Amino acid sequence: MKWKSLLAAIIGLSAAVLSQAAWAQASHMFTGVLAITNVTSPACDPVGIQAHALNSVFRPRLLAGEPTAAIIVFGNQGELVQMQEAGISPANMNGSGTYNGTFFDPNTGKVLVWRADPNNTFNLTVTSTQPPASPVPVKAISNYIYVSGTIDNFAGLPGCSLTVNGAYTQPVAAP
Amino acid sequence: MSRNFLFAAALLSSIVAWGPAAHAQVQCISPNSATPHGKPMWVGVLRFAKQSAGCGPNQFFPTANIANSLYRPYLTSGDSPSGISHFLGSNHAMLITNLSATAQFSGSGTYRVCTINGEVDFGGPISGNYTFTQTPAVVDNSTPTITLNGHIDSYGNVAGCSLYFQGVYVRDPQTLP
Repeated sequence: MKWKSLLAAIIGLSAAVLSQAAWAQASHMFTGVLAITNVTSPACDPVGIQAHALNSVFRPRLLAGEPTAAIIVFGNQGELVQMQEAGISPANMNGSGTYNGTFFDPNTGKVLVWRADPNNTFNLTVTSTQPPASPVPVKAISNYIYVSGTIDNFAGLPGCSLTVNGAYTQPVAAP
Repeated sequence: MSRNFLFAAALLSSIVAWGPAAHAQVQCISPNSATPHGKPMWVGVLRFAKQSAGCGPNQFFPTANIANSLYRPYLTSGDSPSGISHFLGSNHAMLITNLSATAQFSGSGTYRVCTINGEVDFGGPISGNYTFTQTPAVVDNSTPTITLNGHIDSYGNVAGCSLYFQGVYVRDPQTLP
């Protein structure tokens, strides 16, 4: 009985360690700020978004099997927005493509999801710097990542377009 | 921005508000250097990467971190000296001020730091040399993005103690002209 308990404990511990290892080896993320420099009005008025610089994470897709690239934005009042590329092309949202969006609004407690809509388009320039050459495509060892351009149909609102300028750097504990 | 940012703003405002009369040792900002609202500002994150072994066995900050930061480089006549704000961990904030009246944090120069954790300023200004690579090398009113990569030396007035930073900033759209 003791051996069975010990074995179960070992298996449990191993699973926990493996789980933590898998978590530690998760996709690369870059931390930074996304400035929303322009918001079309009145199309975007229903979501009350304004020109602002907000904390953000850029998660590129660097390896096959990883999720598609995404931009995550954290609002000042608990808002959380994720815009994830709908496909794997263009690589890491550098160019024109479509995305799926999620918007958590703490004022209403609701999660708005807009996806699988061909109008959910982005037109972004995504570059990175990696000494000594720059700019280069986004890589795991990129020092900085820059994102600029437009995101359309925000919150699923026709005509609602955000102009953005984002900059990101390596997190403290890069995988 | 975040609660941390708001706290930093309140902290720094309080340091300025106290002024030399209330706290003779705090001279991180000259009394006439307050920057009016509406001037260009850059908002970002600053990664504290490491500290050198010279900081000693009881190093100031045991772990690296990344936190919200503001960078306000000197731009034009009448501006305050360049400054960088940062949280070194959840309970330690600092304002790095360029001792040159007009230099941006590009290249090398001298700095002074105001800090607050259990105490304010460690009882006196921290000063030393800095070396930063700023991209672009010269920031102007319309620069959309800035990166800073470098270190401040003699931190805590300890010779050989250097803190290494990597920061990235975007122009705050709320200060667009």
